Amino acid sequence: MTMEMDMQLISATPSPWARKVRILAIEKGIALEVINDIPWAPETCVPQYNPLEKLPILLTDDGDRIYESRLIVEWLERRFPEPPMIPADDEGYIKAKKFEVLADGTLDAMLLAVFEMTRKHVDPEWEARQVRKVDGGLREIARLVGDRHFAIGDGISLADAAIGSLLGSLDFSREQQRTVPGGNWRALYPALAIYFDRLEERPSFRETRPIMFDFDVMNRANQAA
Amino acid sequence: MMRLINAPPSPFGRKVAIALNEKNLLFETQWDEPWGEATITGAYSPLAQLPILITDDGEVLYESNYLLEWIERRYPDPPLLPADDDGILAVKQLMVLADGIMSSASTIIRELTRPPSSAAWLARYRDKITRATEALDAAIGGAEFAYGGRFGQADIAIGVTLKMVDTMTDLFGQKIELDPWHQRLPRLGRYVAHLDERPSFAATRPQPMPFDHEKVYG
Repeated sequence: MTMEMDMQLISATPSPWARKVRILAIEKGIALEVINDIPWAPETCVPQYNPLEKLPILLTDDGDRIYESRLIVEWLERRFPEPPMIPADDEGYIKAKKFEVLADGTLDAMLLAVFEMTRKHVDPEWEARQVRKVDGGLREIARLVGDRHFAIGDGISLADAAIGSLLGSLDFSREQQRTVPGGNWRALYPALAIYFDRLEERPSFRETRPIMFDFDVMNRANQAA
Repeated sequence: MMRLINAPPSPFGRKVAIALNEKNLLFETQWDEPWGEATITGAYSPLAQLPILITDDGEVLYESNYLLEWIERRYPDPPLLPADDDGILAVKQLMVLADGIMSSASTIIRELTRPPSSAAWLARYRDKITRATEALDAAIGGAEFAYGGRFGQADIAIGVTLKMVDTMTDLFGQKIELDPWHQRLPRLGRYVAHLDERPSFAATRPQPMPFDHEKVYG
């Protein structure tokens, strides 16, 4: 006899990677219990599930564990194909994944630049290289989205979840009075702002807005580094 | 003909070149130095990253895993991914581990070549490599290939990554110790050595680039 249980997503509250997964799970009607964890804190449970010690991690209803947001998204799509969030046909799949590559790549560069800024000895050339990537990624996303309601097709998809998580993360940093590369995206790309504000009205976006976790813990970890 | 924009030492570009070789696809390589003055990377990739693939139709595609996915869908034979969902997901989880080792290794190299480097940071990323190589060894067991008894994308990712960890000890004329995984995991070492004999691996061995070390990691 098997026991029915919800799947769990181990996540950090402000994580845009986890937000992408949560948006898609809500759109698919999949119940996900979110467990918050701070991977820098001593009491973290992350190492026991992921050798790379990164979030998010999905604990599935059949006892499996899946890590890395891109793979979790793909796992959800293959296990729960309806309603589709990644088009099944080759062309649609490749289109959706391209937006994920751009949004995730922009986020990676943004976080690398922010980490660099917190170092005692900042490497300005390295920081500038990351900032260029952020600028290039946002410019391309804005160009591809144009004045569309959804990034691909006429409904929500992985592409919108990935872009929305990125843009929400930039807005969140601004709300926290933190200066991050790309923080001025609304001024540069007004059509993208309209697209994003429309998405933010969806329940899946509203329910997953980033909230702050204990930044003291993060700062302590950073100072140790 | 397809054109792959790549850098001679790039493990990311090598993954794509191996996949193209395994599928017997004709392509030309355009070498680029992404940190150099004359780089064309930024003109093709918004994220200024290699590798970049220009398709027969002139479409510009980038990001190594994305390129592997595109190649697989466009040129399915011989397959480099299993046909079933479970298999695909299992292979991709192994690739996540390999990619995590790759990015941890890059982080360590960058940290070691920036003054002053952080001991805590280095220990954290070395630990990730240690644990991820152990997880890969456990998953592969003593098998010839990472999944399903035939060569595929997981072998490309793992083989290229672990060879990169090996060669990064002296690629820039400087001694760097990333992780002594061969000592801990001889079985994984034999698996990689076997992969390394494949023509697709032999045809794509990474080469050092005469680029300015200061510019890259300074």
